[in-house]
Amino acid sequence: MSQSSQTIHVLVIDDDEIAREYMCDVLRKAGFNVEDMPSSIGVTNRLVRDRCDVVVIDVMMPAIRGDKLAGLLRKNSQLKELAVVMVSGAPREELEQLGPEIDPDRVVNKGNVRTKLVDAVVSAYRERATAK
Amino acid sequence: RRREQGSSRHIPIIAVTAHALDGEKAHVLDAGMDDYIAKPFTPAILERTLLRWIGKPKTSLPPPLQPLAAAQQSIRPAAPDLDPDVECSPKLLELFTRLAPGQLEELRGKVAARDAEAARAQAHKLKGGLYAVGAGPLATLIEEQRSAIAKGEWEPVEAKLEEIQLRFDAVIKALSQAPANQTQKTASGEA
Repeated sequence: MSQSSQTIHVLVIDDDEIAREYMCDVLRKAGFNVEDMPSSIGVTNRLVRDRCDVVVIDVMMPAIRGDKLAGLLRKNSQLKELAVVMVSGAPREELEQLGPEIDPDRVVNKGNVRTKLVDAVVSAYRERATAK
Repeated sequence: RRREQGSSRHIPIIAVTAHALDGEKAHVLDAGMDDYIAKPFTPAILERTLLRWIGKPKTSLPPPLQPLAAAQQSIRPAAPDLDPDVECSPKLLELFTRLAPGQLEELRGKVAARDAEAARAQAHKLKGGLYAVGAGPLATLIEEQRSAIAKGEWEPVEAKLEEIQLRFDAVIKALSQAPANQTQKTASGEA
């Protein structure tokens, strides 16, 4: 795996334990520094405190949906360099509901996590890093 | 087939199709194929189909096409839905085999209760887990049911539940029997 992936700090947020471990497993095998959270509550503090490079968020979550969380993160001046990757189980119907303020760097279908998530995280991170 | 015209040579052609429908069978026969295997299929089905054609005199008439799709349904395959190349962490395997059976049971209950929102949420969860362990075809089938539920098509969904349960049980059984050396250990502990 690329050297750059070893330095990228990723936070995975999904309320579903299986899906969360799945994404963490894929990302750890790729060499990322991976942490995870089961809900959107407390995410902002965690991202700021741990200086995460990329956040991977499931769209469908109870309490605070992933798209709403992404919108909140985008408005946070402390997280302007954070790359946001949304993961969706039903992209067409779900993504139509995403407002323009969400503006995720990448969107990955849950069915393609094994093949697309690593590339999405790397490319989202690189774009944000280049834009600094 | 055009090349075989006027000669006694006949090379059997077996179609492999994801569409186990009667119309598809007629379609491949019309195209000049001799037999077909519907996905998902087991190595045993592949072997049996090949043996039906290999070793026969080249000029012999082919045997009548068997209703393979129906035959396949009567066989309890090991786990045709599982991609053998997918490696899961021990933790992922443990989570899936512990939690997913309850998710399917919950889905069945929500379908019986005609609770569309809860049924779709359960289907969503179950589908994600199935993708995680490499059971893509079954995950796709679950997603189809989720779409059907959204349209209020309860009866077709209920009719599919038995097939889903059988295929799901095969997946759980195969994962439960997976030797430890076929799973990849996680590199680090929990965050």
